[in-house]
Amino acid sequence: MNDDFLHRMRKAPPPGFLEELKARLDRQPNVPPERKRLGFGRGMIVGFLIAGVAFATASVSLTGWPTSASQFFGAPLEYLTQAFQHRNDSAADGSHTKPAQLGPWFPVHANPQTEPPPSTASAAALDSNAASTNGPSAAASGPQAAPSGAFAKPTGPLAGGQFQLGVQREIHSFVQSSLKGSWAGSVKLVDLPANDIFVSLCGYNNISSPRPDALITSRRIAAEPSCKRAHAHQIVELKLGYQAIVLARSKLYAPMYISPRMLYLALAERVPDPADPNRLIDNPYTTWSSTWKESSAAPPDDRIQVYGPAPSSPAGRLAAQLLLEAGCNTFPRLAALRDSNYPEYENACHQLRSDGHYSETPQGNDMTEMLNINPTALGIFTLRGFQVQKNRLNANPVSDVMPEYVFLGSESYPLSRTLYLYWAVYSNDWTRSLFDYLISPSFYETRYDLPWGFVALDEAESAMNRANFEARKYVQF
Amino acid sequence: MIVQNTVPDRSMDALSSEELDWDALYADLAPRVFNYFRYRLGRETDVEELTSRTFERAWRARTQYRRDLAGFSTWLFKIAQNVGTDYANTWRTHLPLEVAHEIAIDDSPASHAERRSDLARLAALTATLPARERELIALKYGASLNNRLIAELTGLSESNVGTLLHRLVKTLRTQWYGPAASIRDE
Repeated sequence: MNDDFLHRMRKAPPPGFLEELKARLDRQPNVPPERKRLGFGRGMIVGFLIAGVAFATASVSLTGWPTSASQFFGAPLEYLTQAFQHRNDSAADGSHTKPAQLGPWFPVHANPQTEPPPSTASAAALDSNAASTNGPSAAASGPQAAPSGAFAKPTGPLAGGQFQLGVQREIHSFVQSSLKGSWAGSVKLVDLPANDIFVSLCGYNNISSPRPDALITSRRIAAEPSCKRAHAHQIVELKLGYQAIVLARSKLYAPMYISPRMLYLALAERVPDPADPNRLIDNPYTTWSSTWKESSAAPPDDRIQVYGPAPSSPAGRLAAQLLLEAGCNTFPRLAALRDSNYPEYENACHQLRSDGHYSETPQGNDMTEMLNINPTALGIFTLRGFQVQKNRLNANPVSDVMPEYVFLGSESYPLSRTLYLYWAVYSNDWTRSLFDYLISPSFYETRYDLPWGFVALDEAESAMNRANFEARKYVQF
Repeated sequence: MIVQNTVPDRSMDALSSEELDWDALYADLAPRVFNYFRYRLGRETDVEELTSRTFERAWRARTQYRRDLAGFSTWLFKIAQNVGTDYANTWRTHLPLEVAHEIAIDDSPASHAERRSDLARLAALTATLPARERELIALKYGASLNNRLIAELTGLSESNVGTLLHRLVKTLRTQWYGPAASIRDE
């Protein structure tokens, strides 16, 4: 593309500046502190000690509390003997090599080619093709008895054969309302806090809290430290869609400049004390101009008034998150709470004020009529809802970004978020039909009651999503 | 959506902090960081200050750099992005970064020339764009990064970056060479 006019504006920095900066950098210590290392001998001893403790602990849990010293020391050998014996048996008869009996800490996985998962009653219901692939007997036989030397029989929720879908707590209601009909009984939703959601997928869990087969979340997985540390693999990232809201005013008034920080200061129940930002106080701001410090383009001195869904409703909770979170995160102390103290983060960043500046639209009143009567007020709409009314309303941009689909895709519209579906491919091949349903256009086209605030993918993104699903393109960490 | 099946970068970016040739890196990246801030701010003022801060932070944090986390360019420009954001947050509490260029710093002939310069003209044209799109312009044409690195820095997919840039350049070229350089409200 002809972009020379953009390239030619580059220029070299002043030579004196570069030299002076380099000299300053060179004066700083440039030798990193030497890390203390164990000597070779000490390192070997420590390594053996750690390995011995780990092995002994594992063997005790595998075989139970030993009744004698010989049993304790013999347990590891017994375990290894069983493991290799079984491996040799499987290799000899040409069947798929199953992992050795690893005890309760490792999930049990089936070979999708030759055998069903340990609990197949519900798994077969998820995919009608499973029965034809593996034979009706496999699906109908129910939980499989563990053959000797093979997996431990799963306990806890896995034994019920339900597909485990981890869901970020804030979007639970959306997922629950989406999974209706035949899926509802086959999928177990597991609520997870946003700051910890990927640990469940990438870390190892006890069998009583099994690793979910998939996750639905608004966070991206690629930078997740726990997944990088665990060298997670075979995880596919798909998009479910977006959640977005629109702020709109009557056409009697032009839109005004609003930033996420202004919205937070205007609508949160408690905000940082201007005199002491480390302390939260009841929201003192009453006008839009009072949420600004200094500007030559201050917003009007209008009373803060926003109408929207009831704060206690699922729609209201979604509106609160989208309205407040971005601005709340501009305060570093509050943003840090998201990972360190999530309940406190929710209290600070997800609670709408209840003193009348945010109000539920009264029943029976048309929102647009209310905005015409009170033209300085703002109303909260879904994207679809606004499109129906756009001849009578002005959408208010946020940080100069209009609520348009293209800005949802580029994640630059502040009052929106993307919903991601992360599928751990190793876990269960029977989940395919569930995902096929969730990412297919028919999921949206056949429904007239899509969850409030949900925006489906357009044709292009939907096609890309489908391609990644079919190709199983794994996230690279 | 992330689709990353690219060959790992085997260039200088793949070295650990102990192996990096800092002199060579500085010579290569300092002008790019400098121009990144020029494009992002749309003016010359404060660019040197922000460039200095970026390298001072990178130098202080260099022992924390781990080659398995990100290529070095990505790491450095992440620091630059944070420096730019901190600058915007401390200079004005609520104003967006692009408003800065509207406020006259001084009335000298040099500042007049600057205001008439191509850079100022670009800043005026991009002022109404969303922050993400302005960031793309600064990373692509100021910092001279490729789409893959831009995607890592912005969290977009590489194809999305390409599409957005193509659209942006097309629009800006029309405005640049058109009869009027007036700014449209979106």
